[in-house]
Amino acid sequence: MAYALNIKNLSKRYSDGLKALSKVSLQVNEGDFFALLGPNGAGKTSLINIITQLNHADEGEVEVFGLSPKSHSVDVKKMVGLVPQEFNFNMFLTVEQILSYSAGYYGVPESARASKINSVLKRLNLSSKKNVMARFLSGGMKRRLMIARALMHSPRLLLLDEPTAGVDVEIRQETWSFLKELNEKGLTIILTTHYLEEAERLCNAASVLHLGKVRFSGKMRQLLKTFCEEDIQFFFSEDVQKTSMPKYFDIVDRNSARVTLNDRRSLQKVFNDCQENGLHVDRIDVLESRLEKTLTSLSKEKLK
Amino acid sequence: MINTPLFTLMYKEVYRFMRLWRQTLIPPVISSSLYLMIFGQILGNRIGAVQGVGYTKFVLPGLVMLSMIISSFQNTASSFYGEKFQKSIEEILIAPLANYQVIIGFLCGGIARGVICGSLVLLVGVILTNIHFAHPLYLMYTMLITTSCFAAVGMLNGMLAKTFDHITIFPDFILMPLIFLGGVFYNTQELPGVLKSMHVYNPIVYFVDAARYAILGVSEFSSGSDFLVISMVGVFVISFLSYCFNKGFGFRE
Repeated sequence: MAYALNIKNLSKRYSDGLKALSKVSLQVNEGDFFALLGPNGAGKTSLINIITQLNHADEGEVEVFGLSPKSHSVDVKKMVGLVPQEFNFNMFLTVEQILSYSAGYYGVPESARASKINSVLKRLNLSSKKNVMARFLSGGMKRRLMIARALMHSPRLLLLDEPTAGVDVEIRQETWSFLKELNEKGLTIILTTHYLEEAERLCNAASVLHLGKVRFSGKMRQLLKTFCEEDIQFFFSEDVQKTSMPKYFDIVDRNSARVTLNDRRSLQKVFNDCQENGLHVDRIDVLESRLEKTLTSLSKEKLK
Repeated sequence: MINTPLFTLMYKEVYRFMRLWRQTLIPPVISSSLYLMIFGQILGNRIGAVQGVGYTKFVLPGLVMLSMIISSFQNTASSFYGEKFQKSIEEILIAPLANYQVIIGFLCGGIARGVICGSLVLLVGVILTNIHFAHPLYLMYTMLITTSCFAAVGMLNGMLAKTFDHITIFPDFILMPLIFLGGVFYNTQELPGVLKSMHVYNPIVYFVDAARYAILGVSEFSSGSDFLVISMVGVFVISFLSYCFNKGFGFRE
């Protein structure tokens, strides 16, 4: 199968001595919705910057649809669209100007830009902001503008560097549905995030980066099966110190206890056990996300 | 065939200063007009002729150069640093533009602003002094090479600057002294002692002298020497800029 992205032994050390990537290898198939997971400082943005040629790698190879940026720099750039983590457009230009310039940089003729701008803005609910200066947009609108800009030249590979950071739930859902739609039309998408829920919902394959190294690479199902532990705190109406509790609970105080969910102990099973013991659950809190738990597991594995 | 990516960048750079024409084009013309009126018309009558021409006419080429150098420098320095500061330079760096196209795009803005400002000052000079250009083609070449060279210096400054303060260090501490010691307002032969022997190492002297030859037909050095020096300085600065840009100094890890 053709790879949309093929990375072999990529390493990057910054001038301040920080080793951002260490022998990273991963493959993304054409048509994949690929999650690049990892905590802050894992090397996700460094990897993206090398793919988009913003930074150079110290060693290793990158191929985008079979072409190396070293020998086919312009061709590779034409195939890639980037939604960076930070807002990086000129705040003193209007939405339309930002999109028009971006399309122009990618060779889209002026005659074809207006219809493209209108259709992308309509799909992202930004039509009414077409003539508004970018600095007057809300955070969510700015995020959507970045996505619109990355789509102006119809790329084959879209890189999304935490596209929903700081976006409210409603807009996040809309953005997810739009991205899913693009992927179903054949666009290969690489999404970096530290929200496992986002990746779980959208992606079919994933890699986990931690401290510049690939800790896991494979199908999303496999990732979730392998690393599915989650720490939950249950809050009860009863005094748990005076009540018989399932043994897997760690009592925190009079009304709460913690439990780790995994593939053998589901949330449903815990609820059933509580009911059998006459416990009434008031609410639950997720203490550690599954991704955090995954990364903790990976670190422990490394230590072993 | 028009290269759309390059044309877009050129258009954006020109539009950037044209949109703010009250801030970018008019002030140099006002200050140069004031210089012409105060230095030329008022003080000039007491100074008399310099190199065989009236003082008002004598200072005009220097003022044209002053205006072009500052405008072209400021345009690229502020534009590139602004893009870097807002991170919008990343948009250009990931786009399918070759490095030389990015350089041409940015320089185009500086050249256009410098040439427009210089032409407006020249126009005011023509109105005030009723001057006739001695060597129009030579003037066009001088204007082009001057604005290209100082737009390149400005872009270098914008690339290497890490803060807004750095943008003003080069013009304040290096460029302006060189301009004022470069014979804009006087004949460099009248400089005292060490400054007189050092002035041949100041490249601005040749730019001003070339403009004076092109506009008035008088010069300190031969027109050939001026042509050679300003061309060499221009080629050197643009080559150095290309080298720094290809290496990504100041904006790429």
